[in-house]
Amino acid sequence: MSTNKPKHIAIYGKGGIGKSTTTSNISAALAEAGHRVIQIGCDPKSDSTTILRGGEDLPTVLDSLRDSGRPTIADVSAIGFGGVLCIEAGGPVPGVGCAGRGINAAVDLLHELKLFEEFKPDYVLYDVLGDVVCGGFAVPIRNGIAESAFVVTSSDFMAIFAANNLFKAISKYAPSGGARLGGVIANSIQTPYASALIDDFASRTGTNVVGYVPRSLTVAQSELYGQTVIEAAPTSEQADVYRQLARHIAGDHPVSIPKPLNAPALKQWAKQWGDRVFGGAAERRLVEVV
Amino acid sequence: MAAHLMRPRAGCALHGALYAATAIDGVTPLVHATPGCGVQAGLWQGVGGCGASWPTSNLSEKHIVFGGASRLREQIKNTRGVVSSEITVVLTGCPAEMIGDDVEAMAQEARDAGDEVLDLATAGFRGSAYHGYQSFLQAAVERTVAPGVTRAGLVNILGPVPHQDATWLAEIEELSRLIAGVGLIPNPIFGPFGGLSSLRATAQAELSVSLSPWSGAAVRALDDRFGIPWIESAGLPVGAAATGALLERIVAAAGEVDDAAARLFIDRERQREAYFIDRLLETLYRQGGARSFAVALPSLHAGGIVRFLSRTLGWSPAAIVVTDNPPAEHRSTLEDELPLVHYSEDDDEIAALIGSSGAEIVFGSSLERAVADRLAVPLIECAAPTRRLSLTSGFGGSRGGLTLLEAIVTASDQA
Repeated sequence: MSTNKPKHIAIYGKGGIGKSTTTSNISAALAEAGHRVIQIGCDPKSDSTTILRGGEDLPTVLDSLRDSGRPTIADVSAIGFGGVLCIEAGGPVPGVGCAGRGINAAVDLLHELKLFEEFKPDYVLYDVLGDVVCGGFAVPIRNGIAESAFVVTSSDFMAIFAANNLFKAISKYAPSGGARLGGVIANSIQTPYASALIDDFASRTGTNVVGYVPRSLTVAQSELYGQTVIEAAPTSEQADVYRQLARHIAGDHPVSIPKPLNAPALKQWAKQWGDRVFGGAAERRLVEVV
Repeated sequence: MAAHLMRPRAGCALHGALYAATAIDGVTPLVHATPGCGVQAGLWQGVGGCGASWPTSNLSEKHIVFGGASRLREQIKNTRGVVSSEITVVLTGCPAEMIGDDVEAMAQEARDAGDEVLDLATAGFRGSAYHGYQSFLQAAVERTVAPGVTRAGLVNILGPVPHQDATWLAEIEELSRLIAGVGLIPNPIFGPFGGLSSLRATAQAELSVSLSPWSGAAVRALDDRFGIPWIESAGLPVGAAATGALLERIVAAAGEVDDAAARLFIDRERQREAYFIDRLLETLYRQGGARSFAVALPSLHAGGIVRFLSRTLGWSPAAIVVTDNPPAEHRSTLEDELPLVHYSEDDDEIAALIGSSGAEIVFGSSLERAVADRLAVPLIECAAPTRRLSLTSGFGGSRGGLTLLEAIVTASDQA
């Protein structure tokens, strides 16, 4: 147990891009290295911590808030792999109410319940819906919660688009004490150009890539067993990739205020990459076919 | 980029709709919003008071996160059970609309069960209390009024916004008196002689009179749905001359009227005003004669008061500010033969316009007190917010012109 002030880190990423898998593996790697870790899922889908808990059900903070009024920490948490304390903020029924306000209410409640004083974590990881659709989803990077944020992205344009939106939110809140950007985690790397594309996006926006996670069958297989790679395949190369990421995040990593691209610049940038990857000739053929 | 509005003179759309619904006996408003939304509407009432408390779904954070529709369903049921009224109008505030509560479905459920429930989107971000009145009136006409046999001589009176326009009821009552005077039947909708039966009778009228830009949509809806012709007035007529002119238009548009009797009535109104003005001439002269004046008033009162002061008293307007931001398409009607008209809802801008005008008397709300004191001139309060309690005396019609004269002479004597 550490007596140091816990380090709060937010990890954002577009839905389906692998941010929960990445966050859970980082939590597992930190726990394996002997740290006390809390992982808080801030996504109404409530599936952030599943692979830390063998796929078991966990009542969300908002479900408990709705049903029992004022839950205790024990009601809304479960101990997962390596002692990681798993919490899901949860959300309303899809299509009803305000999930953004829900995240806000859930984080407030965890503070009121003195979660961090009681559990005394070394690291708190917030796994947040990356589209930053409204102010509620920016709560973890606003003043006084997380010190730094990382964004998980693939080389798909929509994932980059979501990352750029997060950069906008960070550059808005950072000057008034909000989180700064720790860097970009490049995920699902499988084509030769993917790393170069993400590197280029990072350099254009004044940040850097802190890790490259290759697309891996080991991850898919581990998830089918409801486990992280750290647990299911501890000796795999993929596990070492996550351990390396965890060491970077745990260390005194540099942070910055990103410079997001505006909409036309982002489109122009994407088009240039389209030309580079597929070639101008391919594009012309596509136009002729259409 | 949106700019900050300093000290607005009107509440939000929810307030305007809430005041309007409250002023119709037989209609119960139900506020689907946080408790503060209704409290604010009540506080704004100041000296006049609304005399009402309202059912509300009292949304809290729990409802914001998980949705407030089921809370509303329960509140509709309880309201129908406890408060006896024919129509329940669900008025939504900002929180309910921002989280997307399916209010229409809840109201439809109640309608399917046989209850008359109207749902209306009145979130504050939709506009001011004037917009709320406009939406309420239009929805009421379009969704609660059914066709009926035309009642000879019935005239709908629309325009003064209940509780938002300072002397709304006195204005409706004076217009009712005048319309009855020329041999027609006033249909006031709001106030003690209005009510749900009066609202429903709007479809049976021979004519609608729209006294402010905010009733334009409703009179057009009455025309579209039931073919009821309408007259748009450039605000309330103030004084006997403008009142006579409006009454002549009404008489001409309203079918069967005894023209000679109507003319006699209009003449007697003019005669009465002339009698009082003759008596006051010397006093007015002694108090400074023809003066320059500034007005900061909503569209209901601005034009009429300026015309009365300039045409009947011969005074000169130094600044005219219309304070309720009326829709652009109604502005030319309002400005009819007036010199430069400014439009501003912003207190700082209004104060600057009045302050630099060099006016010798100011007509406005209590917010103009500071600028009138700076100019060391009298202020006549004839708009909200005001501490002047007005149960029976407004500024519209021929009696309203005399009320204005009373206020001018009294204030000038004290100055």
